[in-house]
Amino acid sequence: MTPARVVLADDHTMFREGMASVLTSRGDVEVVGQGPHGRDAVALVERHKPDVVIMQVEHHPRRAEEILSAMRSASPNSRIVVLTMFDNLHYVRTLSRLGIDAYVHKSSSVGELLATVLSLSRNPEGDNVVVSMPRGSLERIGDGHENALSDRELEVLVLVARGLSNRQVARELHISEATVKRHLANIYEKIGVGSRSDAVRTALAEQWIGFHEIVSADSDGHDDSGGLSL
Amino acid sequence: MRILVTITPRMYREAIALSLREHRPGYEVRIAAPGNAEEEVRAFAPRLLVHNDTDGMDPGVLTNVPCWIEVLYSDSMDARISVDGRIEESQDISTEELLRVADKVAAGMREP
Repeated sequence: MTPARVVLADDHTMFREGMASVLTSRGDVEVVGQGPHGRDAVALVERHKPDVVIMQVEHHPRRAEEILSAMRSASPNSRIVVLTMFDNLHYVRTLSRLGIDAYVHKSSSVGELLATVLSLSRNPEGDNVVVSMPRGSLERIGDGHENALSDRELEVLVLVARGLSNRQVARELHISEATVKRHLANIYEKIGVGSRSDAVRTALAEQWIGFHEIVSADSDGHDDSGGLSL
Repeated sequence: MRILVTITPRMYREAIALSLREHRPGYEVRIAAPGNAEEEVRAFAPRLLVHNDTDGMDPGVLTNVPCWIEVLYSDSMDARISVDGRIEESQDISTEELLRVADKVAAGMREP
């Protein structure tokens, strides 16, 4: 069987090289390119048109959207596996909408990642998304108010958790301050809290938003940490 | 030559350990979650420990290992490397650097 051609995009050199070594040693995977994530990864994907891209995502969904869209344009038939430390369902949903083919939490084993890569490469027309994440996160599906909060409300909550004022949130999301206040009022009512700090505390405790979402981006909503959010 | 890898998350830990085994089949490499590091250090007596600085490991564990590599997740992916009490730093540590340290530690064991 022809080996699956893979591009590996992760900022952590020792891990990336280690993973490349492990994948290549098996014979059914050929790592045709590897490098840091972001624009460099898009260039690798454009050059090699791999069967599968394994891509680290540790930044704001909007930044991920830019990179994923560029990858899709560069190689529409490549299957995309996201490797991440985010374990909240909001993020899974957002990335699924961006067209990823697998969402693999970094607490997964190398074997689970390998099985995902082989499965995707042998089934290029498949439309299902493979998800490997901590059991506890999956078991919370439908348990709380997360499903009642809209994507926009969750986005507001993340920015509030970063300490932004209503005015700063409004500027960040290109909406009016009054709209931010309305979103917050809706959030309070839906989850039964009376203040922004309680809303943030509840959202973090219930993992509707993730700690990494709060710390991995600057106040402009763009990642400036080189993707390092372990 | 015994090496213990306790890096988090699990995928990084396994990839680094498997890569070490691939490149240096003569070395004995084990993995352990940081919470089990103390017990594993006692049982396995590694010559080299590879861990990260945000893993919550009891700092006392390091005093029981002759050599260690501490990957600084809190500061890029640079690393602090301690070989027989001498500490050096490495920027964005690579597999080549990891193997260089492991070989140096192994060579030190063979010296009289």
